[in-house]
Formats: sequence, structure tokens, C-alpha cells
Amino acid sequence: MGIQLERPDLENTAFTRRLILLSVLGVFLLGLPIWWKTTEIHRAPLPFDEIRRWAGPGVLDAKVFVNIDLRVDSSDSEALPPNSPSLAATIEERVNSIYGSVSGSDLGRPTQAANQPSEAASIALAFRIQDHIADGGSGTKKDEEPGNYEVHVTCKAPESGEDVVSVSASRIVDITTTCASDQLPNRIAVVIAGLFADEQKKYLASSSKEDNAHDHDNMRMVKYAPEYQVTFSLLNGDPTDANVSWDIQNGIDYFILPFLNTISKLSNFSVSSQIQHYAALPIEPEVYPSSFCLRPHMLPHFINSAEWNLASTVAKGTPLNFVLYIPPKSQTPLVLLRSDGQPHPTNAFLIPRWGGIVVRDPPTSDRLSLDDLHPIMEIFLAQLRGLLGVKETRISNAGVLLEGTSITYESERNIGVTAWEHDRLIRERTVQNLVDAVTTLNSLGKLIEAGENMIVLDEIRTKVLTSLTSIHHCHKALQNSSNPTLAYSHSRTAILNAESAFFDPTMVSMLYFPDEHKYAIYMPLFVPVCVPVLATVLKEIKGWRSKRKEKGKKKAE
Amino acid sequence: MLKHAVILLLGLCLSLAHADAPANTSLVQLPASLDEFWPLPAADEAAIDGFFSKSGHTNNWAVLVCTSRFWFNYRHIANTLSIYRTVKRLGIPDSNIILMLSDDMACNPRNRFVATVYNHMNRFLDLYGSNVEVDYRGYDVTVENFIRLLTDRVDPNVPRSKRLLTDDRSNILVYMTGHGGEEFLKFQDSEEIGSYDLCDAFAQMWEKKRYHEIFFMIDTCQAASMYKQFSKEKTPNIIAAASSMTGQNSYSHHTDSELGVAVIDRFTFYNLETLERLKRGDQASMKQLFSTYDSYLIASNPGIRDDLAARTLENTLVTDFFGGVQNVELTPSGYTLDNPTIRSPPTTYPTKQPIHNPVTRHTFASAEQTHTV
Repeated sequence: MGIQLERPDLENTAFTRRLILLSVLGVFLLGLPIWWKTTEIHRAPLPFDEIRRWAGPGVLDAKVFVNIDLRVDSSDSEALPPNSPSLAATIEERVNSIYGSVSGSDLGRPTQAANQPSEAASIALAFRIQDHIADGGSGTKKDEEPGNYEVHVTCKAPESGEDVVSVSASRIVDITTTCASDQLPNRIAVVIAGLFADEQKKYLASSSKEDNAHDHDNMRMVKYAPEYQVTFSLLNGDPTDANVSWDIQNGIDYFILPFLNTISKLSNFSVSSQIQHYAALPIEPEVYPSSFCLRPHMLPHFINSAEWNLASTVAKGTPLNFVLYIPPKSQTPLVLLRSDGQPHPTNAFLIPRWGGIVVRDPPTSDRLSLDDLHPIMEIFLAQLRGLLGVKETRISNAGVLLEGTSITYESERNIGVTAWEHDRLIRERTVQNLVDAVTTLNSLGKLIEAGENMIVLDEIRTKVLTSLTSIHHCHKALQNSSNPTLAYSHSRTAILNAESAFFDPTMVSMLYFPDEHKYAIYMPLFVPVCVPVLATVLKEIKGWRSKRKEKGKKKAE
Repeated sequence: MLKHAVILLLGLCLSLAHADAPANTSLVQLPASLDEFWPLPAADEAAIDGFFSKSGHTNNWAVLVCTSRFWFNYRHIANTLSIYRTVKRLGIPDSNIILMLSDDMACNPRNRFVATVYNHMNRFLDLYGSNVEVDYRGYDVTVENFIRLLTDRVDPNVPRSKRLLTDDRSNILVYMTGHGGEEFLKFQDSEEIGSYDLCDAFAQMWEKKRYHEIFFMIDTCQAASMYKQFSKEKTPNIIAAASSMTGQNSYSHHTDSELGVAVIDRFTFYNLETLERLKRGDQASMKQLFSTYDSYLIASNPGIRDDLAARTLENTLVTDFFGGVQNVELTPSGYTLDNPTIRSPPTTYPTKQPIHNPVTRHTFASAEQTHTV
């Protein structure tokens, strides 16, 4: 059989060609959903509207209620002015009018504090003052709950000396004044308003967006953390002079632990201590004939960060350092000077958001006993209070507003924080956490909306939802104020979840990846394939058209 | 109604009493607003022996990044280590410095002077000296790690020393050097960071209040293009300085003929000329630093961007970024506590036991045993 050169069967080739073309197109079509599915980015749906709603103007506005029981010494009740039954109501009205908020009866109306920028939340304290004259002073012990205070008014004869206001450590104010006077409501109102004025100022400052660059409290205070690591370090300059040790276990147990236990509602604290020898100062003290001096401008360089091993390697917990520095004998007595050149009585200083330092000359005995540690621990405690933002309760501007009144404040000499301070700290942290949680969620929302290529895992969604629920509960609890601790625990959940969602390691949108880059990736892949395919498609269409024309002509003929 | 009448009556009495106010010392005037409770801040300011810094920052951080590897890029390591030495000398503690070195020149087999890095042919100063703490080394220096560092989205197991734990009071110096082009900087010869990525990372830091001010300094070719995307809305409070404008190259300063490679870049070299003269707490302003830039010596036009800065360059100190100018406050007094001998042993708070954490952990790990010699 010879080789037969057959003429290609035109009809058959065209069919094959079309088959190939169709299969290629079919693969494309089939591949499209697969490609779509496999390149899809998992983005758990987040409630962006709700997140934005919380950041809206006025939504976070809250009135934090302070309940006050007013008790007027009943034995002297004849001396009261005739309007005494409504004394509490009068005072409530006046205090609330000072605070610029509406009285407790119309809760529904949003608070409109003056001059508030619209985006910022305005948190206002509001007072509910109840009369307890009828009770005849029978104790219901309400003052033992956070947020519930008691004002005791003791009447005195107008001539018997000056008025006395005494603020106890446990949520009670005693006022001794002339009850018969018309001034009574005003006097009490000023005391109450004054006690909380500083706190209210802080809320205004934190919510307004104005520059608080020089707010010392804000500068000093550490950021909120669920856990702090408190480290007490004894740094001994030269152990050949004095091989100092300290009774720190007892020192902490007696002086610091009661304080930490009390505020452990706010955060966890873990305490540790260490002794380091041969601790050299990185700065040279100025030499005077009788002493060695450190001037304020030298103190920022006091910490020898290269050699003193103070930094904690443990990742969790914000560290707070307290250092007792004992200089070598060759540098004693070592005195800290104030800016005016006078020796500083406590010989101690604080580094904002870092910790506190006390400088003491080597002790006569090698071991610092509990008694020796007492004054040092008092300073450490004061510094710790400053770092954590505990503010002393004071009637603001009392010298002017309550002229001629003697005011005493009781301090809590066992624990180191009074109930007033503790309550205030809880309220402030609650408000701060609430505002921060909302801001963080909002930032997170912006971030996710901006990064279209970012994967959003389901657990992020869970955290965001938990945080939103807690924000809601916290806001509600704040308004009701029956239990500030509950509001606080909600705020804590809210901030922790929001932060952990924001700082989640998966939330890194991997790099700027604009659409042009995508084209650049797909082009070399698809262009070489597409050109012949498209060319064939065009050719087929052309052929089909011309065929139709021919057919049409034939029919016409 | 009665209440209102009473108030009116009281108000009347008050206004009547007001008339002879000076005579009656026991008169209490009801303040109209809370403002009267807040005395002018002057009194408060004086109470604190005031040397909180004027710039409003309380801590300093430095992120120093060398992005290129291989022996012929010796100078980039030297650049970074020079800045590292400077910030450390000016007082930023090692715990606040994040040093990223993408290669190890000191131990490179081609390094004739083993275990040293010099930034000058006279070889007076060993930059690798005794105390260099490298946080990210070698192949750890990646774009991803850099972005993670800035945004603090790190694995929970990353130690504190490798994290940028800044807050709204932190001034950060970000120094980068390596090989780059228009709007990108090459990392490790394998990947690159774009100006968009960088801006995005800073924007996220700002969003989360993780910096107070940033000084961004970059020594690479076309360096100025790297800060192009910064904007007032997204990344305020940034001052930026770059070695060259877009379209220009940056050049090395000189070659050490014994090492056989260039040892430092021009821009960094002339910055160091100024920085080396500074002492801790120096009052030189950024304006002064920038005025020393000589485009003839640097062989390119240094780019400076100050339109995002919160303060004018005259009012911004070089040590606000290069120095660890820490604020301190003298403690006025301790908190008076009772003497333990006259009171009972520590008790818990009288009202309630702590709710969330009944036990405060009290560890004394290796107490009294740590000795630093």
C-alpha cells in the first residue's frame, strides 16, 4: 500500500478546531469558580455599624451616679431650718446644677456638658442625695459599698468656733456647722461638689481632644494593664563597705501587700525582689566638702540601664520598678538636691511610667530591719500610688470656697488607700477603659475596611462581639451605678478583648498590594494562552458570519 | 411646688446675704460652675519640682534597621551601629533600642579585623565593642518582622526586649539604611518595603496612640521618596530626614583599603559629625542639625520634611529623639503608714476580699541571689 496523501477533510478539521476551542473555553469557565474560591480571603463579617455607632457623638455620654446619704444629727433637729425635709433635695439640685447635669429625675435626657466637642464622650458625675433624717441615724451600712457615701451633719451653736469638715477614710464626711443658718444647703453642696470636682475635671480632660501634653498626672500614670510586675531592687554600690540585705518579705507584707490586695480588683500584681551588688552609678555626683550631690538635671541618667539588670524578660505584665540605691562609702553622704539647691528631704524621685528610686546611705547594721524599711516603704508606696494614678481626696479650692472652715482628711494608715481614692480609681479606670475600648474597636474597624486583602479570622469576630457586648453592659452599669465594680469588670473585658483583637498577630495586612501588581502576576500567565484562543474565536466568528452570508445569498438566488 | 418655692426663697436669702458678704465669714457662696473648683494650674505646677520635659514625652525609643546583607554592604551595618552607639551614649537604654542587623559583619570570614566593625579607616572606634544587643539578626530582619514590630502585632511568645512597647508619650527614632529605589527599600536582597507599607505602619501606630513624635531618618538611594506617603491626617507628628531626593543616589563616604570595602555612608557620616559632639541633655535643636547638611559633601540633596511636625524645628531638640531624656519628679513625701509594731499583722481590706484575684502572687524567685559583678 502506497502512502496516500489525502486531502484534509476540511469539514472534519473545522470540527476538531471548534472542539479544541470549546474545551479550552470550557476549562476557563470551569476554572473560574475554582480560581475565585481558592483566592478568596476569609473575612469574618464584623458589625461595623455598631462599632461606628459607639464612636458617634453623644453615644458614650454617661452619667456616673454617686449616691449620698445625708444624715443630720437628729438630737438637735429643732435647730434645723423649717425646710429641713427637703434639705437633701435642695442640696441634690444645687450640686447637680454645679455639675451642669440634669437632676436625677429625668434620666432619659442626654447630658449636655458645656463646650464639649461633639465626637468626644462626655462623662458627667451626677449625684443622688437622700435624706436620712427620718431614719434617726439607724445605720443601714450603705457606705460600705463603693459609690455610696454618707454625709453626717452635726449641728452646733453659731458661736461655738469655726465649722469643721472631716473626711474619713471610709466614705463618710462629717460636717459640724450651724444648722439653723440658711447657708446649710450651700455649705453641704460645696463640700460634696468639691470632693468630686477634681475627678470630674479629669473626665472632661480625657474626653476632650485638646492637648494635654503637660498634664503631669497623665504623664506619670502607667497605662492600664491587666497585670503589673512590681519589682523591688536593692542596689548596693559596694558590698565591701556594707554587705546590705533587707527584710523585704516582711516589708512587702506589711506595707505594700495590703495596698495591692485592696486594688487587686483593678489588675493583677505580681511582686518580686532582688539584691544586686557592685551597682555603679552611670553619673558622677558633684563633690562638696562634706557630701556628694545629685542635681535634678542629672537624675534622668541615674539608672544604669546597661549594667543594672532591672528589665524583666517576662513578656506579660507591665513592669514597675522600685529601687533602693545604697551608694559606696566613698560617695556618701549622697544627697539629692532640689532645683533651688536645697537638699531634698525624702532623697527619692520618681520616673514617670517606670518606677521610683530611693537613695539611702549605707546603714549601720548590715540588715535593714522592718523598722528601717518603714520610711523607705512609705516612699515606695507614695510612688506606687502616683504611678497607678491614685489621687488624694481633697475638696478642690477649699481655701477660697470654704473660707474659715477647718478641714481634715483621714488617711488610711494601714492599707495606704482610702475608700474614696479606691472608688475614684475604679470609676476613672472604668471610664478610661470604656473610652479606650471604643477607640480601639473603631481603629480596628478602620484598619479592616482599609485593608481589603486582610484576613479576618472568626476569633477576631468573637473578640469584637464580646467587647461590644461588654461595652454595652458597662455603659448600662455605669448609668445605673448600683455596682461600680460590675461596671469596672465589664470595662475590663471590653478593653482586653478589643486590644487583643487589635494586636492579634494575624491582623498584619501583608504589604501594600495594589491591583496593578495583580495584573503583573496574571499577565505573563494568561496573555500567551489567551492570544491564540482569542484569535481562533475571532476566526471562527468570521467564518461563521461569511458562511451565513453565503447561505443567505444562496437562498436569495 | 413647695421645693421650688423653697429654692426661690433660699436664693433670695442668698442674694440678700451676698450684699454684706465681707462682714460674714461663715457665708458660703454657691459656685456657679465647676470652674470655680479648679484653681489656676500655676499652683499645681509649682508643687512639683518641675522638670517634666517640655516636649511632653516621657520615654525615648529607637528602631535602627540595616536592611542589606553581604560583605560589600559593610557600610550599612557600620551606619546602623554608629547610630546605635550614639543613641546609647546619649542615654537611651538598651531595653528601648530595637536593633535590626541583617548580617553579621564582625564575624564575616572576609573581615580582616575579626569581631570588629569600624566606621572609619583610622579604626579608632570599634562599634561592635563590648556591649551590643542585637534584637533582630540575620534572616530575622524581614519586612514582616519590621511591620510586626512597629504595629506590635507579635506572637505572644516574643520577649519584651524584641517589642516596641511604646505609648502616647514615646518619642521614637526610626533609622533605616540599605539599598532602595523610588518608594521602596530592599530587605535582605529578597523583598522590599514600600513607602505605602511604611506609612501604613506609622498610621496604625498613631491610630493606637503608640507614639508621641517620630523622627524618621533614612540613608539610601532616593531616600526622600520613602516618606512621600506620610500625611497630616494619617501620620502626624513626624519629622523626616533623608539622604537624597527622589531620583538621586546616595553615596558612601570612604573606603578602608585594608578591609576593601566602604565603611560608612556620607549622609550618616556627616550626621555623626554633629551627633558625636552632643552631650547628654544637649540643647541643640533639630534646625541646627539640619543646617549642618552640606549637599556638596553629602553628594546629594538631603530631604527634610517638617510639615507634619507638631513643633517647629527650632523648638525640637536633637536629644528629644537621639537622647534618652527621661523626666523625673522628686517625690515630695511618703505616704504615712502606721508602724508595724503597733498594729496587727497585715489584714485584708475591711469590706471585701478582692473579687477577681483572691491571691496576689508573691514570688521571690532567686531573691537575694542575683549578684552582678
